[in-house]
Amino acid sequence: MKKNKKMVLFVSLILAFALVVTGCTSKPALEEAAGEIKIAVVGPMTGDSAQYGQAFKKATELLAKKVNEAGGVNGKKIKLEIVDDKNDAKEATNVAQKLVSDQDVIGVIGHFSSTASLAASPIYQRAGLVELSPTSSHPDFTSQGTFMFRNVNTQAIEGPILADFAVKDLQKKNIAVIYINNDWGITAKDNFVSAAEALGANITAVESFIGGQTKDFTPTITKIKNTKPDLLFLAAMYSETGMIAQQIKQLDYDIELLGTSSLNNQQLIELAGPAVEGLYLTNNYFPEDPSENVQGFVQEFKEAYGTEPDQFAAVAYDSLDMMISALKVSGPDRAKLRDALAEIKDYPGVTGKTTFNENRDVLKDMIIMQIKDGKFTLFKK
Amino acid sequence: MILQQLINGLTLGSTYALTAVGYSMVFGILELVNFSHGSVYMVGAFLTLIFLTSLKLNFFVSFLLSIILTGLLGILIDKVSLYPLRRKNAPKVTALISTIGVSIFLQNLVMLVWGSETKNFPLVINPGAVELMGVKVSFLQMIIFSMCLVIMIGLNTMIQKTRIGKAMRATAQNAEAAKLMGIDINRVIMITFFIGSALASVAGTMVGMYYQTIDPYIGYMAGLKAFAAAVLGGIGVLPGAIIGGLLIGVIETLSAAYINSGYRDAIAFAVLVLMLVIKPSGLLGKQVSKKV
Amino acid sequence: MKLLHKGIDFYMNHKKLLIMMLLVPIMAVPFFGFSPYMMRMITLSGIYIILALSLNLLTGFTGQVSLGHAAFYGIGAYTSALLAIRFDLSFVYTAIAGGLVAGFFGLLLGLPTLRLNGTYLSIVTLGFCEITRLVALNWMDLTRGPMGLTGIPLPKVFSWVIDKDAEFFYLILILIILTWVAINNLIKSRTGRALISIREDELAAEAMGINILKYKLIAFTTAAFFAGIAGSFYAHYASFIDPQSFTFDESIQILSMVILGGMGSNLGAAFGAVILVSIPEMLRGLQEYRMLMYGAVLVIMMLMRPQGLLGNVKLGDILNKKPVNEEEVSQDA
Repeated sequence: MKKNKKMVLFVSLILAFALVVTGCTSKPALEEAAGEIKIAVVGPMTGDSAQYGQAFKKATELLAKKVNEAGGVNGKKIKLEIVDDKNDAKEATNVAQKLVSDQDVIGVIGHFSSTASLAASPIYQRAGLVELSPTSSHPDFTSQGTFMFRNVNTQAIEGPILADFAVKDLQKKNIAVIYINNDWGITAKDNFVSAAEALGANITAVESFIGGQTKDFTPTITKIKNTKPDLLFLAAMYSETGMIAQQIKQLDYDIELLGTSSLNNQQLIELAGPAVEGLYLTNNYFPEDPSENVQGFVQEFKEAYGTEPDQFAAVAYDSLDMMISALKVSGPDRAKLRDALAEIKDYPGVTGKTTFNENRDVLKDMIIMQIKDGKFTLFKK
Repeated sequence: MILQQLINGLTLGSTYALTAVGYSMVFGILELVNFSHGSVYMVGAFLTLIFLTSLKLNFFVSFLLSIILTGLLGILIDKVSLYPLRRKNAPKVTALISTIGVSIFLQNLVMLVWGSETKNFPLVINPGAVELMGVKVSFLQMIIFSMCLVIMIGLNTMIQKTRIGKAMRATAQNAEAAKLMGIDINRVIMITFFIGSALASVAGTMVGMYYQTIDPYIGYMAGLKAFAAAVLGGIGVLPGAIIGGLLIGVIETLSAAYINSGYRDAIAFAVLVLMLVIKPSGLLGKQVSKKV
Repeated sequence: MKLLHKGIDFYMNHKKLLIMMLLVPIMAVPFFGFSPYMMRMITLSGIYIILALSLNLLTGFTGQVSLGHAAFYGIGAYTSALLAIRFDLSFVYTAIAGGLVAGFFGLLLGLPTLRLNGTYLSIVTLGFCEITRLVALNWMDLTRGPMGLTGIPLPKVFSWVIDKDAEFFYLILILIILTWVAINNLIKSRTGRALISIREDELAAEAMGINILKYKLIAFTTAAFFAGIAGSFYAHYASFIDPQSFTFDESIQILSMVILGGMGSNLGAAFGAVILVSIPEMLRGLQEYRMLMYGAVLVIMMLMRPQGLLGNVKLGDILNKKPVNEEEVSQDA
C-alpha cells in the first residue's frame, strides 16, 4: 500500500514537473510581439565544443544589443534565441524541427560543425528557413538545398593556399600531416595533401586522431619523427593543436608547424605558449587589423567580455550582421530573407569582404600569419 | 623507435593505472562500478590548477589541498548518490545510473564555473630528460611511473597490514558478517571513497602536468580506459589494476605506432575483450566460486 | 486513498485490457493537431521505446547488464542505410536486414557471455560498443566515416512512400506493437521462464537442466534484432547518420530508460523511454545549464525510485545474484 502511494506520488510529481516546464517553454510563442524579429543562433552551448558555441553566443548578443540600441531593423527589434545542439547530429535535427515549427523564427545562424549542419539541413530546406552556418566547411553542405549558406571558405579553397605556401614560400619538400578524424579534418587533409603533392612535395606520414577522445599524441609524434619530415601540417582545432605542440616539446622534437585558420585564437598561445612559437597559419580575420570596423568590433567585444574575440566570434558576428542587412531589404519573411541574403555583394565584414556565389559559398581573401613572441603577427598578405 | 614507443606506452599506461586503482578499490569493497570516478579525476586536476594559478599557491600546497578536497568530494558523492541506494537495498545497477548522473553533473558544473576551453597546466617540475641508448625519458615520465609503483605498494601494505586494511578486507568479503564482528562499515566505506577519490586527484594532476593541458572532458575517456584496465587486471585486485593499466597503455601506443592511429582505441578494447573471453575474471582476478 | 488502492488493484487485474484501451487515444495522436516538432519528439520516443523494450529483455528479464546496446542500434541503422542508398530497397527489406545483421552480431557477442558475469560482461559489451563505433568511424570506404551517410531515402513500404509525420508515426507504432507482442510472447513462453530463471539464479537454473548458453544466446540475438530494427527506422527517418549517434553515451541512455522504468516491466521501459527523451527537450530553455540539470534529475529519480517507476520486480542484485525479498519476486511482464 505504502509503496503504491509513493509510486503514484512520484508519477504525478514527474507529470507536474513536465507540465510546468512545457508551460514555461511554450509561453514565448504567445507573446508574439509585433515589434520583434526572431533569429535563432544554434551551436554547442554544452558538451566538449561548448567554447565555440559560446563564442557564437557572445558575438551575436553583442551585435543584437548594438542594433537594438540604434533602433533595430526598420523599427523592429532583433530578438535572439540561443539554442544548444551539443554539436550532436540528432540534437541538431530536433532543434531544427523546433525552430521551423516556430513561425516567428525568420532565420537561423548555425550550426557549428558540418555534421550538425548537414543533419539539420533537410528540415530547414523543407520548411524554407535560412540556415547560415558561420563555420561549416564540408563541401556537401550548401549543395543540400537553396536555403543553406555558409560564411567560411571551404577547404577546397584553404587547402591549396596552405600547400602553395608550404611548398613555394617555405620551400618544404617533406611534409607530415596530422588531422582530426571528422568531416572537416578529412576534407582539410585531402585538399592539402593533393595540392601539396601536385606541387611536388613528398607526404611522409598521414595520421589521424579522434577529437575529444585522443589526449595522448606521443605515439603519433614519435612515428612522424621517424619519417623525418621538415614540416608538420595540422588540420586540427586550437585546443588539440595546443596539446600536440606541447607533446612535441615534451618529446624534445623540433619541427616547424603549419595550421589552418581554425587556430586563430588567443587561447592557443595561452595554452601552449612557447610550444607554438613560429607556427604558421592562414587567416581572414586579424584582430590587429587597423581598419575601422575590425577595431570597432574588437573594442566593443573587449569592453563587453574582457577578452579578445576569436575567429569563431568574428565570423558569427559577420554572419548575423549580414543577415540583418538582408532583413533590412526583405523584412521579416523567411523566403524573402533567403533571396536578399543571396544578393549580398562585397559586404565589408570583420572577416574580410564577403560575397555569396551561386552555390551560396563565400570566397574570402586569406593572409598568412605567424606566432611570434607570443603574438599573432602578419607574415604574408 | 620501439623502445621510445614502449616508454610512451608505459607512461600512458601509468596514468590509466593511477585512475584504475580508485575504481578497483571501490569495487573491491562495494562491488559496484562508480562511473563518476572519471569526473572526480577531472575535478582533482582542475582543483590543483585553480589553487596553483588563481590563488597562486605553492604547487605542493595546491596538490595537497586538491587531494583532500577531492577525497571529501568522493565521500560526498557516496553520501548523496550511493548511500541512500544501499540503505534501500536497491539493485546494484541503479548505482551505475546514479553515478553516471553525478558524472554528467560534475562535468557540466566544472564547465560552467571554469569554462569549457582547454586550459594550460603550468610546468612545475623541471622538464629535463635522461638519454639512455638513444631513448629519451623525461623526469616527469619517471615520476609518474614511480608514483604508480609507490601508490600500489603503499596501498597494498595498508590493506594487508593495518587495522583499517583488515576492516576493508573483511567488508569486501562479507559486509554483513563484518558488521556483526563490530566493524563500522560506514566508516570503512567512507575511507575507501576518500582514498579512491584522492588517488583520482593524484592521477588527474599527474596527467595534467604531463600533457600540460586539461579540459572538463578529460575524465570521460580516461574513466572508460581506467575501468577497462581495472577489469582487465581483475577488478578488486590492486596490483591487477596497475598491470591492466600498463598493458592497455602499451597496447594502445603500439597499435597507434605500428597499425593505425585511427584504430588505437578499437584495438585496445578488442584485446581487452579477447583476454576476458580467455580469462573471464581478469588477469589476476580470482575465479569467484558461485554462491548457492 | 482507498479508491486509489482499488484502482491499482484494478489495473493489476485488467492489465491487458487497459493497455489495449490505452492504444485508442494513441492511435488518434496524429489528429490532435500537434506541431511537427511535437510529432518528431513523439516519433523519437517511439524509437527509444523499441530500444528500451529490447534491452529490457536482455537486462530486465535475463539479468545481463549490457552497456553496448547502441552498437546494435547503429549496426541496424548502417545496414539499412547502405542497402537503401545502394540498392534502393524497400523499408520492409532494409529493416529486416538491419535486424538480422544486428541479431548476428548479438549472437557473436552472446557467445563469450557464458563464462562472463556481472561487471566483466558489462565491460565486454562496452568494449564491443566502442569497437563498433570506431570501425564505423574509420572504415571510410563503407561508412564514409565521420562524413556520415547523407541522403538516405524515405522509407518505402512496397510502393507507398512514407513522408508525412502521421505516416511515420503509424509506422513506428506498428513496429512498437510488433516488438511488444513478440517480446511479451517470448516472456510468457517456456523460453521466457528459462530466461527469468537465469536472472534469478544461474546455477540453480543450470541444475534444473536449462541450457544456459542457448537461452542467453536467444536473449542476446532477439534484443539485438529489435534494436537493429529501431536503427533501421532511425536511419530512414533522420536521412543522415554518422558514428556520433551510436556512442557509449547512447547505450547508457537506453539502459537508464530500462532501469528508470523498472527492470522487467515492458510498460515501465516504455515510460522510461518517453521520460528520458522528453526531459532534455524540456530543459532546452536552460541553455548551458541543461545538462547540469539532466545529471541532477537522473540522480534524483534513481534515489526516489531505485526499483524504477513500474518495477514491481525487486531484483535484489542483478550483478551479484542475491535475491533480496522472495515474496516480491514476480514474473510480471
